[in-house]
Amino acid sequence: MTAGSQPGVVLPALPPGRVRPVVRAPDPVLSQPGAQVDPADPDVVQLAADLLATRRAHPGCVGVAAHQVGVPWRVFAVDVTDHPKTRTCHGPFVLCNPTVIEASRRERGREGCLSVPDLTGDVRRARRLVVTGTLPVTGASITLATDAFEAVCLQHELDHVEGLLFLDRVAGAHALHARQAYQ
Amino acid sequence: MLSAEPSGAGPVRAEPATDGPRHPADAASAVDAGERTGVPGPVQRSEPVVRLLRVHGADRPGIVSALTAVVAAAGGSITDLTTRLRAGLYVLLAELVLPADADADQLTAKLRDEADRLGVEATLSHLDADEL
Repeated sequence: MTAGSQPGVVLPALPPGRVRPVVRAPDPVLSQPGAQVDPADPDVVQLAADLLATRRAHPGCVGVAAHQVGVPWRVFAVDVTDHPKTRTCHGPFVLCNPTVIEASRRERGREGCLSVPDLTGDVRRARRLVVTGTLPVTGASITLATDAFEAVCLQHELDHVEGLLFLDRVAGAHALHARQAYQ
Repeated sequence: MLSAEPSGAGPVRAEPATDGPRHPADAASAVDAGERTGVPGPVQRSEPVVRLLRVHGADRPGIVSALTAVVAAAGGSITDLTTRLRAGLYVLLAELVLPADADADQLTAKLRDEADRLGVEATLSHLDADEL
């Protein structure tokens, strides 16, 4: 796959989104495996809009999963637009019931999380990724092939909907680092 | 101790005996080879098992002592350890060396049982090494 921007995901129209409070570890909801959802369910549609709004409300944040607003469902929102590490970019989108199809080229990188605001960690993740899932409202299936930062972000959010944090992936005893603030 | 060339295609090389641990399967293969040829056969060198234990959850007394006791009961050694406590979140990362014949699956199950009792999350996995 060539590097660079791809046509963005065309999201169906969503209701106005509300910013929801973000839960922090060790809240037990963050460790629950997420439930499959009906993408057309009005509660799922509202959640999709709220995840996008919640992500936008936190500068520097590139993804928010349902677990992070206290809902253990398999839904997350991502937008890596304009991030300096981004190569392929699908713009802002919400994915329901996501599944990894292919993952390759694992590399180590440092990442943080709104739900673990005081720590960052070095994590090995694939830099080439193919993910499938469904869009809210219509339930249309989509398959995304991506790379670099968007691939890392998707895997981080996929972990959230499995009930995992980056703390479950850090690469060694000295791969965890203190952070002053998440801004 | 006898060791075989990695490919299995080269000659068998005899080395001086050592005091290192030997996996039971190694001894069995040596006996089998000896029965066939009259000389000791090739033996695979046993390697210690290296794992990374990751633990996180609400802070409470006894997390380190309880989980390290499980590791010790399995004959494991903790070779590196980091802990962090931030806003009630406790994180422990420990690199372990287990005996070559350790049952890592059984250790994983025991660690999970203990983690459940403590109300924390624990995972045991291979330690990624960057080969340069």
